[in-house]
Amino acid sequence: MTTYIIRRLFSMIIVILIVSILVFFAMRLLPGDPILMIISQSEQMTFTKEQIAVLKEQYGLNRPLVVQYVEWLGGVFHGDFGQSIMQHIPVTEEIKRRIPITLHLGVTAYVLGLIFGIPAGILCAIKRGRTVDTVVTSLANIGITVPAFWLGLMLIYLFGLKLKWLPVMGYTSPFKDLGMSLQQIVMPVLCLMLYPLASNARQTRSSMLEVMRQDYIRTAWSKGLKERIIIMRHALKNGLIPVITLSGIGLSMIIGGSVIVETVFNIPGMGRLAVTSMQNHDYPYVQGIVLVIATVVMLVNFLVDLTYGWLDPRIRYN
Amino acid sequence: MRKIYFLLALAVILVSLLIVSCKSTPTTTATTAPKTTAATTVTSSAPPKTATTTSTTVVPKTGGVLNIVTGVLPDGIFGYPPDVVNGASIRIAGHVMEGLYKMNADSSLTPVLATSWKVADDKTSMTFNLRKGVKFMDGSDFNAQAVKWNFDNQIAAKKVPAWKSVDVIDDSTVRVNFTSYTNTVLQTFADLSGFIVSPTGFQQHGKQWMYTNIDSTAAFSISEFARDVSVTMVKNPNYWQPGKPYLDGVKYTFIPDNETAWAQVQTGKVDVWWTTPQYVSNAVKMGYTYVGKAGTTMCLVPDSANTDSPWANLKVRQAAEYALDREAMAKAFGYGLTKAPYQLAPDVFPAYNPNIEGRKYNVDKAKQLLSEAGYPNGFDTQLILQIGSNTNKDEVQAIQSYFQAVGIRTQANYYETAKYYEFRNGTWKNGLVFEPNAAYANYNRTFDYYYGRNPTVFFSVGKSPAFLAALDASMASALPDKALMQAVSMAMYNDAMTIPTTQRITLWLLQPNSKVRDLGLESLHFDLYMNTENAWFDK
Repeated sequence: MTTYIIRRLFSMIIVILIVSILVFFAMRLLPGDPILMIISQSEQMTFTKEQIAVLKEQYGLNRPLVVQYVEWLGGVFHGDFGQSIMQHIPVTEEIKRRIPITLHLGVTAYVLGLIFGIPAGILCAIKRGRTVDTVVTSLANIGITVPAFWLGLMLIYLFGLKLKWLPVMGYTSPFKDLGMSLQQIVMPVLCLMLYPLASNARQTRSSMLEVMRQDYIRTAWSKGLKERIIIMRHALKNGLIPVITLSGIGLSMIIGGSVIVETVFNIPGMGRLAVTSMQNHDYPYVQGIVLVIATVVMLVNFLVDLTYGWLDPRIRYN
Repeated sequence: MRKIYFLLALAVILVSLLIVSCKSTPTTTATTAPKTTAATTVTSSAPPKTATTTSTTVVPKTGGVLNIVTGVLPDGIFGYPPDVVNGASIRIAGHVMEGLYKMNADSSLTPVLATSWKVADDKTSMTFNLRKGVKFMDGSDFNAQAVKWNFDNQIAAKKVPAWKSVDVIDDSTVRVNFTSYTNTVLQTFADLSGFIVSPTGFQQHGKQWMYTNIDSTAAFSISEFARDVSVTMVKNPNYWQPGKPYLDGVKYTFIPDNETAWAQVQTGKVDVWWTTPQYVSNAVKMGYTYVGKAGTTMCLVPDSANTDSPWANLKVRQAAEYALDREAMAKAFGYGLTKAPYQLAPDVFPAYNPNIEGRKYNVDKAKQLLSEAGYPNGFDTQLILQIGSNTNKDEVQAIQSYFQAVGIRTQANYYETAKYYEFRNGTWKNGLVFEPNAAYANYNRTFDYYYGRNPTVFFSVGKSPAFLAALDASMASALPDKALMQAVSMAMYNDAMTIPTTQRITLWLLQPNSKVRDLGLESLHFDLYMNTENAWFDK
């Protein structure tokens, strides 16, 4: 097991390095550069060619790409992702400020998606063919297809403007004002959790139905065990294996979905930062964010694989 | 089972349709000019209220925080003027810093930190008498040394080429020496380059601190900056104008998504929303008011300096103007809020020449001119456009259609910023650069920036001796002169140097029965600042 973990960690580092190289060079191969973005966003300014050259030198953009990459990578190993070209602040500082916001929403949505999705799926599997199964499955199908931005706008209209129950936008840290924070995250979390909830429900239902058909479950029934014992002790563990796989992918999708939700609800998280820094060709930000996201996705996949071993003793990593 | 699925789906669709149909969101349909209320569009060029003017019959009330929403994100550099470049940051800087005087929409000047000034007879310098008894927020004195420190920083950063050096005459008198003089230099003391911050604050805390911490003489300072979220400004209790500011504070909230911003406006928590014609045109039907100010003119800029380009021919340029139905375009793309432009300067500027009738839409005339120019069958050319800019693609298609109708076959080429700027800041061949021409309060600056002897952009535009002579005369006068600027407009029109297509309008949406007074929106240009030190809530 230890060997497996070390091997996986090593391969993760290789993958993250490759991702960093791809992002670094891809951004610079795109037409346009951050200096021209500064020019186009500036007012009351006339930039001469000399001033443009000074700016390029100031941000190290006139050096060879390989040199720029090596310098940046060296900084990464020291926890320094460089400085934002547009905002003149350390990238690390801004990512550290925004990650908790995105995680707050994302993890809440993820956990709620599991908490509600898995039991819903189990219920559907147990009550297969009945009204509750039909209703929940239909709602799950709708949940998977509803676009997050549309749902967000509908929620804003209904709860923010018509009923005036919730604020229409914004984010407050729970450590600053818990009440306002809870009010503000209701709608964004609802938007984010809908897809994972729906897909968890569907996948759980499907895999539980598969497991419930197994001989050992039939044996358990014939032994006279209670339904709750059969489901929770015998069926669930095996039924959860595909769900765990899906939820690992779901976490990655939550990070992607946060871009839309943070834009609609005006939340200053990583997703919104990713969008604006891409638009501005702010290389350090894009590189830093992609690196962080790639690391998170790799770690999640790794944890998912480890969880298999815990869930299913037949799976052993050597 | 299938029946239940079907019924469920039908129910969801019906509920969605119900919600959508009830939702009061601005649509994209163009409207006729909406009804306006008292606090709406000023289209005359009458002298606006100056910075120190308030109502003579009503005493301003104190209190309240002015909430402004904009979709433009600042870069977080506010308090050190040489480093402020971002458009949104400049707007915020205008609330928390002051210059020696303010320039008004009609190019007149209102004293602020200087009580008087004089341009030397030989125009090599300008001397300012500074206001006495003014202090920075850190308690240190505002004086000539502080002005010199600030202006020296601007000179070192090469931000104002016209400034050569600064001399301290005495504690309250300072002289700025020029490399060369045109009256466009007057605006440099009124806008960002002329803003004054405390040298003591800089020495104590450093530049980085000053980016988000304000140490100036202004009515407001920044109490909180939440990046990409909001900027909160609070009143300076030691502001040098007694009794001011009336407001307790100003808060900018940044909401890039227009739908979200519109929802926030409808909660009633927003006093001013800096927005687009699309939202304003429908919001006014719901009782909202607005203030609009024409500013930027979208122009097709021809490479008339290239002798082998069709655009070098005056008749071709004139034909292009006649080919465009600018009245229809104003209605469609301005949502009824803008006017069709037939000259560069909008009619709210002193440079607007009322004697210019304009080349109104006339297809036959356009074809005749093209034929006289030697292009009876038209010609091929290109539109040079920037990807991701504010260019309206519908407008581009409309232009292409109008040109096609007279035989000018245009290829719309969209370029990434880098490549586009090669054309814009350099030269191009056989084409029209489609670019907004920003309107400065001193319109000479607009003329000079885009079409001057040594312009910053558009090096492929030909300039006739008559135009250059008119521009030189207009810029050489001690103060901006309306008649001289109008002469420049006429010369530009006679040469058809540029082809105006539509106007862009800066719009601020206000709540129904807005209580905001004396904010100065009616006289605002994009390069001027709100009068938040004079603003108050009438409640």
